[in-house]
Amino acid sequence: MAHRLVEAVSSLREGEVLAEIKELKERNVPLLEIVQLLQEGMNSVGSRFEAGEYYLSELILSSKLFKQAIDILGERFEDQTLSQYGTFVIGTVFGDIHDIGKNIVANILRCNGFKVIDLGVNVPMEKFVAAIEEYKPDILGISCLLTTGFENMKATVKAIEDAGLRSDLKVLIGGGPVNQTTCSYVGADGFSTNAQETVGLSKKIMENKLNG
Amino acid sequence: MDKTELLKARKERIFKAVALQRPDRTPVILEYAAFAAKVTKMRLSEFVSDANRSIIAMIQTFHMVGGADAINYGGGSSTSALAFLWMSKVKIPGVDLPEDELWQVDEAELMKPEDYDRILVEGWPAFFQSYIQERIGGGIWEKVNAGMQDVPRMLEAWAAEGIPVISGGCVTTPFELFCGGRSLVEFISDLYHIPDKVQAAMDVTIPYFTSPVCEMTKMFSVPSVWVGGWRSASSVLSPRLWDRFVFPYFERLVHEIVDAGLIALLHLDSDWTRDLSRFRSLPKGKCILALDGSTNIFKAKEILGDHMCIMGDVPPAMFALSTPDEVYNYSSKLIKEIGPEGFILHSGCDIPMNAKLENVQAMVAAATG
Repeated sequence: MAHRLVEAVSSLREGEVLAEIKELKERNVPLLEIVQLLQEGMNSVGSRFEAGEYYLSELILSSKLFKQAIDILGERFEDQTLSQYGTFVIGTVFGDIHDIGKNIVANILRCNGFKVIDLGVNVPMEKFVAAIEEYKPDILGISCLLTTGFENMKATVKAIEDAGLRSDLKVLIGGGPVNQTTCSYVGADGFSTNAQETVGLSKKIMENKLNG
Repeated sequence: MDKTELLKARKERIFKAVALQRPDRTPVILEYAAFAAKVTKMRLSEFVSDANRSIIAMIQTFHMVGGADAINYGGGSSTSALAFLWMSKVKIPGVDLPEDELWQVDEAELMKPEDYDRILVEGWPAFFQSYIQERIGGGIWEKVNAGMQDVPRMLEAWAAEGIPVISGGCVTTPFELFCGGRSLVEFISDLYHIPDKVQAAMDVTIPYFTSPVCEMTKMFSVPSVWVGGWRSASSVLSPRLWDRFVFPYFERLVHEIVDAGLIALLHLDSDWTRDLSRFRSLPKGKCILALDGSTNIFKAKEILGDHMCIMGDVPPAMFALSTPDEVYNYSSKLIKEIGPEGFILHSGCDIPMNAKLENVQAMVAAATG
């Protein structure tokens, strides 16, 4: 039977989640154990989204709830501590200032156990390249809401290749107008049009990586 | 055929489709703005700041594409309208952005939770007036008023070419306005945490939406009012939220527009497939359901084909990246499966800035042969 906290997160019962967190903390349950329960709850939210029971509204709410819960734990968790899957660098491509979709994806990835480095919006190619050199991510996510971003995403992937950083890196693109044609054109490894798809794709990439 | 007859014939073709009758062939309507600047090699900064030149560029583009029946909206400088519809600042090429970069809504939490109370106390018109001045600034009211002065000249220019302009005023639901002003994440949180307050604010807001827009649209003898929906799509919200905060307001707007003797052009971005059957409660043969490629248009035909005209939906990415053959084949499939009655061929949302001209021509060719 699932832990009460897992069920409360899964059902988005905010009051119950926060009360349960406080109680677990008072009982001196190890913080990482509590975080794991929260992430289990988030997994369940993701499953309910995939099953068509939840929508983007619930994904957004769950990520806010997760953040509130982490804040109550009162520890300054580094992304590294929360992460169990891998490192994901994300940014909106240059020429595009939209950040809402990108922020939702970043938050949902964090809740699902990824260390996320968010480069912001209107990110130039050089900044993507520098971030890959610095953080050595497993996955790079490039977001765009405008079809004019297609050329810029393609140029970014090319710059990463030219810098010799492409071979160990998986590149995902995301945003309203992207599809398989865009993905092939840009030279990415995959695409998604919503946050939960990105989580699923990213977990699959990491499983494949672990299994060689 | 002279231009007056051409104008009449094109309008009749479109009106037949709206009334769910069979026109002589599938009508095709174009919708674009920045695409015109690109095709006519005009800087976007000039396009947004010079109404006269943007209208000329749009008409020139229409002729370069060739063969289409109408333009959705006739003016290119829509940035002020965007600020109104999103309750947000809009970044402008040549001002906030490089000269040739597309204008974009700069979404931020400009509207605060306490503003719902202000709406309830002050009423919508007073609140909106001060909100635009205080939070958006940039002389938006003045720009909108100046833009209104250009409308008769703009409509005359299109009519002189025998090209009908389909949409007059534009309107959206309180959901979209508040969501833009609060920003998506905060607004969704409001729907869960202070739902009654949000609904109360929506209820005092909605009575002010259609009346001025319908009046203006009728004054200019334009046939339809553009009713937009994007964040309120079925794929974003649970049915419980959609039923309470979206559809009742949408329904009211559409009924008011139709009661005013106008066509309601429902411009729906994102995926509305789950709730298509709900649109059967809207007046039959009086609306256009414009889809952007995210809603399943074939499902829309199944559910609504005998009830409202469907318009769409060559996806923006297809215009930018596919070949003319691919666009032609997809457009032909739409004509065959969604038409011949009650269908207008159109881009999904507007034709993007980086669409290939030959792809837009391929879409039109699928309708005109």
